[in-house]
Amino acid sequence: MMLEEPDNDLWEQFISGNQSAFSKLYARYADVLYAFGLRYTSDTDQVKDCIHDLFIDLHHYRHGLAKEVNVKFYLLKSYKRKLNAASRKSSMLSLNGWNTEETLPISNFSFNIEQEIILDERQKEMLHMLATQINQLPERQREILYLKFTHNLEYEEIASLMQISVPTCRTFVYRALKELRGKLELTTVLLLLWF
Amino acid sequence: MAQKDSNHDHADDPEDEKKVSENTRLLFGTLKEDILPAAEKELIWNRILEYVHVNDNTVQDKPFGRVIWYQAAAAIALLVLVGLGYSKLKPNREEEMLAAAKQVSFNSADTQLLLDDKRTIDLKGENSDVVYQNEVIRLDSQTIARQITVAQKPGLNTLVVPFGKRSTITLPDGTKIWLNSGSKLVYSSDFQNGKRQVFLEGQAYFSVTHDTENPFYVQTKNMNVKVLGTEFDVSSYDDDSRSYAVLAQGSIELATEKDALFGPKKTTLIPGTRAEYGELSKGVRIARVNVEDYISWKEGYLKFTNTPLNEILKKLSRYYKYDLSVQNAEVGEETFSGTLDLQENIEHVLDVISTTTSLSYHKTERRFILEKGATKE
Repeated sequence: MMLEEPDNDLWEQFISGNQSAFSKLYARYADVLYAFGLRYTSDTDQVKDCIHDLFIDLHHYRHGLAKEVNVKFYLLKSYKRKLNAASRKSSMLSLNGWNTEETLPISNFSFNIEQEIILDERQKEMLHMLATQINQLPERQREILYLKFTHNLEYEEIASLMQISVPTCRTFVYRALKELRGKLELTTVLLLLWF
Repeated sequence: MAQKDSNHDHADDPEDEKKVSENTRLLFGTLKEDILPAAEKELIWNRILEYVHVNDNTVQDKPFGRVIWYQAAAAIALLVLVGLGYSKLKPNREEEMLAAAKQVSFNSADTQLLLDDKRTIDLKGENSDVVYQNEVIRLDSQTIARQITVAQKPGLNTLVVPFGKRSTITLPDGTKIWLNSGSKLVYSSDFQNGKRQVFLEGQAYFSVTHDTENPFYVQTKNMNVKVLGTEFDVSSYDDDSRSYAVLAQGSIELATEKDALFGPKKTTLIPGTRAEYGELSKGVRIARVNVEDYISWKEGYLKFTNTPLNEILKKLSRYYKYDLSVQNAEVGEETFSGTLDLQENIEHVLDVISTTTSLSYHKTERRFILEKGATKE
C-alpha cells in the first residue's frame, strides 16, 4: 500500500498552485463531502452541485487561503455553508421561505452492526439498543455525535460548524452521553433478566 | 449549590461514561453512509476542470458550462416572484402547512411522527395509534408504547403514513382521524387554542368533536372543508386528479378553487353525499353515494358498488404497497361490486378477484399483473 501524503502537505501544494494536489484533494474528499451532505438533505443533485461549487471556489481563492488549517474541518465547514445557502434558495422555491432557520435538520442514522464480525451476540444486541437510543436523541445532539465520532472533529470545530459556543457543545456531548448511559443501564438490566 | 451539584454529576461514574463513549464510537464506525458512484465523481470533477480551465484562460468569455446555470437562476427568480404574489392571497398558516407536507417524503418504511421540535418518531407495525392526552402524546403500535411530552412552543407536526400502513390520531380536542395508506397529516401544536386546522394529503376519515365556537378546518391541495362537528371522509391523493369529500353525518361546508380571484367557491354537503372536485374541470360535482363504499377501509375491508377494476386496483396497491396492473386495458374499465377483506394478504385478495372475474394473475417481484384467460390450475 502506498503511503498517503498528509492532508496539510497536499493543502500547501494546492495553495501554491499545484494542479495535481488539487485533483488529489478532490479524489480524497469528494466522497466524504457527498456522504456528509446527504446527512442533511436527500437532494443528491443539490449535494453534488455544492461539491462542484466548493471546489471551484477553492480553486478561485486558492492564493488567499490559510495554510495552517485542519483541512477536513475547513472543507466541511465551507461545504456546510454552501448547503445551507442552497437549501435556503430551494426552500424559497417551494414556498417555504418563512423558515428562516439557519441549520438543516440531520437525518436519522442507520448502522451496519451485523457486519461487525468481531462482536458477540450480546454486544450486537447492546449496540442495536444504543443505535435506537441515539436516533431518539434531540437532533442537535445527534448531529454533534456524528461530527465527533464519524468525522473526529474537536469540540472547537464542532461548535464552529454548528454555530454554537464551545461550552454549549461540551454540555451537549456530555448530556447526550449521559442520557444514553441512563437509558442503556435500564435496558442492560432488562437484558440480564432476559438471558 | 447548583454549581456543586452539577460538578458532582460530572464526576459521576467516569468509567460508565467512557464505556458509552467507546460503544458510541464503535457504533458510528458501522454507520451506513451514502456512496458517491465513481462515474458521478468523475463527472463532477470534469465539470470542475472545465470551469476552472475556461475561467483561467478566457476570463471574458461566458463559460459554456455556466450558461445552463444562468438559465436556472432566471427560472428560480421567476418562480419566487410568482410564489410571493401567490402567498399574499392566502392565509399564512395554510401555506406553511402545505410546505410542511411537501417537505416530507414517503421514503421511510414505517409510519413516522415528525414533531415540531424536529424529533422524528418511527411507529412500527402496519397499524399505529397516536393519542394526545393532557400534556403527553401516547404512541402505541404493535410493539412500542411510549410517552413523549408535548413541546412548549407551537409549531407544525406531521404524521406520515407510507403505502402499506395505516394510522389513527386523536388530537387534543378529541377529534379522531383515521389515515389511510400513503397519507400525510399536518397539524399545529397549539391545537387547543381554538386553532382547529389540519392539512391532508391522501385519504382520511374524520370524526370531529363538536365545538360551535371553533370550527374545524381540513385543508387539501384543492379544497377546504369547514365543519362544526361531524363524520366524513376526505380523499386528496397527489396522483389523483380528483379529490373528494364524503359526508357520513352532520354538515360540512366545502371551499374549492381556493385561489380564485373572487374568493373560493362554497358548497354545502348533506349526509350521504359526495362532493368531487376535478382538477382539470375545476368544478365540483355532487352525487348521492353509498357512504360505506368510501369509509369501509378504516374497518379493514373495501366495499365496492359498480367500481371500475382500475380504481379497485389503485386502492389495493396503496393499501398493500404492491404494483398492480391489468394487461388488457379494456378489462380495467369493467366495473365490479362486492366486498374485499383487507385483513387477508394480497395474494388471497387477488385470488378472490380472479375467481369472481375469470381473470388470472402472475407475480414478478413487487408487481402483480392481471390478465384475461383461464386460471392456471
